[in-house]
Amino acid sequence: MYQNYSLHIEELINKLQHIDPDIIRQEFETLLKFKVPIEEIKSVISGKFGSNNSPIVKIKDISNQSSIFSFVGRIVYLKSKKLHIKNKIVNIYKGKIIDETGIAFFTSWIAFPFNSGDIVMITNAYIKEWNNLQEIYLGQKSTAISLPENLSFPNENNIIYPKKMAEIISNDTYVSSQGIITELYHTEVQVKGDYTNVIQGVISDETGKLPFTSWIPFNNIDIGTAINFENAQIKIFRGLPTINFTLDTIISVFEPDNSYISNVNLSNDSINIFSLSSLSQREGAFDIVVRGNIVSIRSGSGLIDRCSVCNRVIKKGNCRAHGSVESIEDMRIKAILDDGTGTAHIILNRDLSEKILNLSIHDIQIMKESENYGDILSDVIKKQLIGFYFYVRGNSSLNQFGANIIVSDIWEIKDELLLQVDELLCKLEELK
Amino acid sequence: MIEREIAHRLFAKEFNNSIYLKAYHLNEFKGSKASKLLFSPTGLPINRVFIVGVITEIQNILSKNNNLWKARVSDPTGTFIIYAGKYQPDAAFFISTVDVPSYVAVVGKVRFYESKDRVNIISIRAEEINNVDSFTRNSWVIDAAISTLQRLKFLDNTINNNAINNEENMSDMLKLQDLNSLSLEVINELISFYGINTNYIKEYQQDVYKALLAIKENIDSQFTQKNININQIQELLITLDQGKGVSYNSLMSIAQNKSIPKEIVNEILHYLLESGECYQPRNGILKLVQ
Repeated sequence: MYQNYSLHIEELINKLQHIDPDIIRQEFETLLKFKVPIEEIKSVISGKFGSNNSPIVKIKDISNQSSIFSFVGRIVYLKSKKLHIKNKIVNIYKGKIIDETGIAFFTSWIAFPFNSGDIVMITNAYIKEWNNLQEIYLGQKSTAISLPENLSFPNENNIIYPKKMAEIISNDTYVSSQGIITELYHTEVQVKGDYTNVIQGVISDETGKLPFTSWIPFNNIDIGTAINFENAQIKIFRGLPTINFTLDTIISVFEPDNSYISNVNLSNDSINIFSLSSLSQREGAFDIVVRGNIVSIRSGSGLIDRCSVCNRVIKKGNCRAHGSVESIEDMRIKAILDDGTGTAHIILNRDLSEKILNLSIHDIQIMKESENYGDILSDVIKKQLIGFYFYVRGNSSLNQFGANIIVSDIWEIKDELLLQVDELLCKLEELK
Repeated sequence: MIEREIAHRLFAKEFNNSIYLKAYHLNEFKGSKASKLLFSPTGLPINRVFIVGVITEIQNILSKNNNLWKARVSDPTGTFIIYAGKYQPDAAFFISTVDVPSYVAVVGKVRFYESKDRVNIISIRAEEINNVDSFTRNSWVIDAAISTLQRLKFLDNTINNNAINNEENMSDMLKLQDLNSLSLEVINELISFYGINTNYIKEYQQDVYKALLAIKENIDSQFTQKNININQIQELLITLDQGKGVSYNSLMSIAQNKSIPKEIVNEILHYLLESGECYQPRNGILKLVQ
């Protein structure tokens, strides 16, 4: 009967080489008896047995994979975990896997009879986001095959992935890099009810700077020390990658030569201005300076009420989380900055708003007593800000409406223009 | 990601000479309708603009159901026509009460009328309008000059390298010039529509040159004025100082007798304090660093 369909069956057998051809024929026949259309049969069978031709990728590219993929890697850490799901005990395996391009976390929901150190070929895996980290998942359609030991394949000890600060993105799980510590302070944080001392600060190299948190004590490391670090964890905090030094991290101090020090932007005063278009191309940027004109003031600027418990903005004395609460009066400005190459939303807190408006919160509270206070306030804000040039410093992060800058400082531009004009005129005279 | 549209900076002459209309996707946002966009003679798709200039004339155009305000704002190359009607109440109110002449900054969207496939009257419908200082005007002219020159350079490269048919070369350059939103096809159409050649580019460069010369005078005179004022204040600080510094109030009253305005004195004191030439031994007391 299936002679007429032999071509289709042939095609399926070629596609699903790891499946016994007889099983495929059987399936095909059964479905044919039910008069299922040929195309449907083909998709059902290839779906059921899983296509074996998912693309082979390197670990550094997995975050771009929207569908299933395959890769080869070495397991460097493995542990099993028992879960109770619908009264059944399910064994899952969690671990880390590396190849020459990177390292990734994985979770396997299928049997995973391997040991740490094995090289495995994983097919039909997929990516899921868990706790802000992208993880590889092995589901029912995935397979894992052990490959013979290959000494040239990187192992845990000889692999490092050095990156520059500007290259570190939130998808990086572990990074190695070097830089100079430019800020450092000790804080106490609460972790699961216990207080722990951590060291926080900022580390800089010639491409940029990033905040770090160290969960391990520092020896002989202070502001100005140049360090190498390996296996630091990257976590996302307020849209920005943060470097975490943990027990796995190896930190070593090195003596930087003068050229290295002069390349690293150590002083807080020297200004390296970013264009706003560059901000919309990166996920987040730490402590940057941009220059532009304020072109619009958004609603929600001016006096606002905050919840006394959680500090959220509340309306009519009602907090989203805590219901009717006592309100604390605060002030902020939300505006749009535009430099001709891009735009960004900027948010100024009370101090900066007071500074830039030259008005204290009390002045505005007095204003509130007049009748059309809303109009007056927005007039005042617009009159002071719209159209003027500003330098803005702060942390930028990306959301669905583009770049967002939480401003840490803002000041009006009073550059000397004569030099710029002369330079441009010179250039134009050359062109003549 | 739905980003807010950029407000472009361009000179009035280029703006008023924009007559090329084309349906074009400004955002890469999929599923959005291609809107008819105006392309400037240097290849800028213009919808939202940011301009700074001198407001020279205001006019109230009364019609039955719309109270429309019209203003002329000029920059060194020409004049922008600004409108604000009942849907821009803030801007309309501003125009109705503004001092003429004065420096204004305008953020707005482009309006145009087409007839027989030709764009006739181009104007700006103001979203925001505000009084600014001469510094902002001068900075804006420099910004507009830089971005115009960049576009002209890009067009120049395109024409002279005969790279128009060389797709690979083109996309490289597009990236360089930050004009990567434009496709090759659109640029070729623009070049043939406006008849862009070397002379055409020279002409626009000449306009930029003139605009910069115009503000250079202004900056020069401000610069010398500031230097004169600084010298005056420094002299006052030296002559009034009897060893313990000069109090702010006495300095201010004497400066005002010499007809230096209060704001200027404050600005210069701020400058002197910031540059470290002057310090405050006590609050309200000023002393020059010897």
